[in-house]
Amino acid sequence: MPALPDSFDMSSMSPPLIEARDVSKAYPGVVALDQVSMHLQQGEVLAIIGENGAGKSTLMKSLAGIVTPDAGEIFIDGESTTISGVQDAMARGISLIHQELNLADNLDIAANIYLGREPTRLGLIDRKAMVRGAEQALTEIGLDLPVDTLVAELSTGRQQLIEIAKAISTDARVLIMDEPTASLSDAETRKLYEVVDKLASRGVGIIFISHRLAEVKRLAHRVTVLRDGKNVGDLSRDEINHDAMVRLMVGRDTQSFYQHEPRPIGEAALGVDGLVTTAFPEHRLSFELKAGEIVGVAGLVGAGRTEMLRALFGIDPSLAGRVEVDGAAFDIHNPQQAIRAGLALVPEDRKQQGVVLEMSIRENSSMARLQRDAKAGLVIDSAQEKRLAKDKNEMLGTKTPTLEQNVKNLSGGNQQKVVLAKWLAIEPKVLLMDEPTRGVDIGAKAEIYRIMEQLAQQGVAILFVSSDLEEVLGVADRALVMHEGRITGELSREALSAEAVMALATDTHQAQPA
Amino acid sequence: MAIKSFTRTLGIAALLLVVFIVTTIADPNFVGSDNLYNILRWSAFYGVLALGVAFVIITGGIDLSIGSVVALSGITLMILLQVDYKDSGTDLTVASVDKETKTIKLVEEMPAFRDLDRLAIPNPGGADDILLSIDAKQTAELNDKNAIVVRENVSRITAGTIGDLQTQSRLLNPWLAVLLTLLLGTGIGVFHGLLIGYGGMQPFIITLCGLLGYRSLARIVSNDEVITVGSHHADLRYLSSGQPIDIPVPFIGMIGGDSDAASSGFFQWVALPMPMLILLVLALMGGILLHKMVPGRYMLAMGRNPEAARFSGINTKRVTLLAYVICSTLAALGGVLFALDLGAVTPATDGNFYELYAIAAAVLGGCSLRGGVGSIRGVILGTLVILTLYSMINFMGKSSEWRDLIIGVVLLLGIAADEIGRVVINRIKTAKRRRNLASNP
Repeated sequence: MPALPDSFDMSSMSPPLIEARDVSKAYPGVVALDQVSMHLQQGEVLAIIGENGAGKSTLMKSLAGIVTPDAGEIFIDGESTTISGVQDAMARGISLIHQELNLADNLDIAANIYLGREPTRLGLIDRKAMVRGAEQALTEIGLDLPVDTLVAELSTGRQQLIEIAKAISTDARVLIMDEPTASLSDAETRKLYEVVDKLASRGVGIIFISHRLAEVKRLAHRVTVLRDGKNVGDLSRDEINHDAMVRLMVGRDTQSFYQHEPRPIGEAALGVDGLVTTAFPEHRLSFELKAGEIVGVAGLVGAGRTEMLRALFGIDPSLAGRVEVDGAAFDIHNPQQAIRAGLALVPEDRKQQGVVLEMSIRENSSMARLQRDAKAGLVIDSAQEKRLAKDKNEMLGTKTPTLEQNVKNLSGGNQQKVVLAKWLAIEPKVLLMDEPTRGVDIGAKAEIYRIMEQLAQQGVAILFVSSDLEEVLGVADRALVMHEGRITGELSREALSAEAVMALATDTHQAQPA
Repeated sequence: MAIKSFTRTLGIAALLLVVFIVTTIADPNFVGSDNLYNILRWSAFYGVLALGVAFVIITGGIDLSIGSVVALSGITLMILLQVDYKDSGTDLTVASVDKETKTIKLVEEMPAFRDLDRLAIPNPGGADDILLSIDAKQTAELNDKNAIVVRENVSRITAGTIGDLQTQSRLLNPWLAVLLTLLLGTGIGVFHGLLIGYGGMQPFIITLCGLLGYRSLARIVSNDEVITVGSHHADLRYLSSGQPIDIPVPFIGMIGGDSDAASSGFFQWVALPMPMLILLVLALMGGILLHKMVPGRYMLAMGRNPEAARFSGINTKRVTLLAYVICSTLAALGGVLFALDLGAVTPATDGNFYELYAIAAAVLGGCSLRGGVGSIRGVILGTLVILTLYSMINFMGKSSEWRDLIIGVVLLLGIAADEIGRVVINRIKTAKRRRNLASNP
């Protein structure tokens, strides 16, 4: 637990670093912000939470000068003001770090930190001053790296820290972060937490958006909750707990969030014997999955979990191993063979791998089955295509006015349902899922868990990779834990606990043979 | 997506209409049936190429080799269509010559012969024989078993000379020659598709090599000489210059573009050129492939997002191969049509830059070089616009050096229209919001 100020007594303090009062913003057809207020004190860490579409990002963009509010006031140091643009915001010490990082990865750290404001001497870039400044910025956030390292050589987590260093070097007093840990490994996440604590103790005000409630609990001094573009509540430090946050975000109780019910477990559906991935050629992976079983694969980012799924689905070549579905072995040189054998993969990167954003829900839903239903294997059966898309998306509860809607216009959760619709259309025997609820809001999360339960009830074997420990504990019948390309252990539902998983994931206790 | 592509089609159709109206006001003959026929015919030649490259562009690729494939396939067709002459061993003695009618009276009775068989007569100068090709139709009209009509000048032929009848032997059935030429295109497409789809190589580079290589090959196999089929293969040339049906075109009869028009009613009959009929059939097939069939859907999907297509179990390699096969086969068909149109192919220059015209037409018609976007009707309209502009430039009395400048500017405007439109609309909206905010603080 970080050292916290004992309390934030508003009356005895200077005016807020930044404050928004009754800020509204409407886009054609949608009110993104409806009289939303928030404030941030010096040295405070404020978490903004809410489901997707609650208005969090719009509020942050209003503070950082990217979006001009339609109504309402913004105060900096207690004075009403308008922020005319990103440059203006930065000049006043407000920095926004986007979810998608804005670094030039072909340049080194120093060049990135000074990108767009390079110090010059006699008209030439003053490299020495740049190096000095960059080194100082890295020291301030406690990162020990040579500043001439190319950004491309850094992990995502390190790159995130460089963004923060960049903001610090512009003397940011307010640091806004949009889902800063969404793509970080655990070690990187811990490092980021340290940096946040350190900056806060130096008086920097920090606002962050997060879907990870455990993270909010760990970091935030205060939580502001938004729902449908409105303020629905603030939680002070001692009020922050999982249930309170969820209740405010979804507006109802979620005691039935994870509905784990006992299910009949059938015969072996997927048998993997000695699978060797190209990423970890020194390890053989062997395990079994039974029909109707939901098995979670836990581990740290980089443990080789995604690589295992990719090899199983024929995306990446495998070096050795025998894979069986319902007792029949098959070759996996490409996804077509895996699909024929009865596998389906809900991939990690939904927008890049799961859906074609500019195509309709109908076209995406039929993608895997199109050929199977085609007349003479060539001519699309459009009636059947529509029926299929309608059935599956209705069953999954995809929210959309029409099936002709481009998937681009759907929320993350609904996009994920379209990916599921595509795979349910081919009635897979084994469903592989890679981070199935990443970036989806809490309501859609619950629905995805319900769908997983339903599929398992129907006898589908599900293998899902998740970095959300709570999700593995809540959903899985059994968990495999991986560490550096190896399955370090297997935990039954009874033996599943955060401590047991973390011990295996970091390989800190005697590994059980898998 | 459907709506946007439809707007695009409307836009380009409007552009086409504007070009027509403007030029017709300047010169009503622009919509005369002869000129319309020519525009349609030339559009068809280029349209076949544009249709092919559209499929490649839709999958996110590019084909720069089209013009060279046109040249190589044209030369190949010309070589396959070459006619061989053999001495028949029948000596024929010239009795008299009529220079006016190019009629030669013979002492002997003329044996059986075919059109374009020829009479080889020793050259008094001592060089090669003088070759006279027999015109069967006119000879038949003479109704004289001892006389023939030839096509060439007969002024140097004197009575009493003994010539030899040479008969033709065709190596190949001409339709088979066309088929083989198209297969050459298919083979080139397979080659490109394997390297790009299965080998993962860059389409720009692979087809750039093709652009250079096939042009050179065309020149090598022809010794860099023009190859012609002369007056042979009139039946085959129906493909490029036949007029299978007439179509009614409204309004133009009333404008009076045709001085010799039989009617000035609402409809004017214009011959539909055979190549345009071919193009329309191909376009219909292409449209069905793209919008109603599985491979077409796959092309659109992988053009948009190749990774998601692969993760969905689509065999993207095979889809890529198919696109390049369609493109090069149609390029070879274009080569066949261009070659038959002139009856001769100049290997060093024929087809130069045609790939760029084809790409221009496809892009003008709404294909995005980023892949995943495009419609067949747009591509056909795009080709019509370009060829109509060509015709307009001729009618306006501008010389041909103006052509590409105007095409370039039109293409630029067409592509920029979307972007500029959006930027302008956004600016106006923002300015309006600023004013609103300023007036109600």
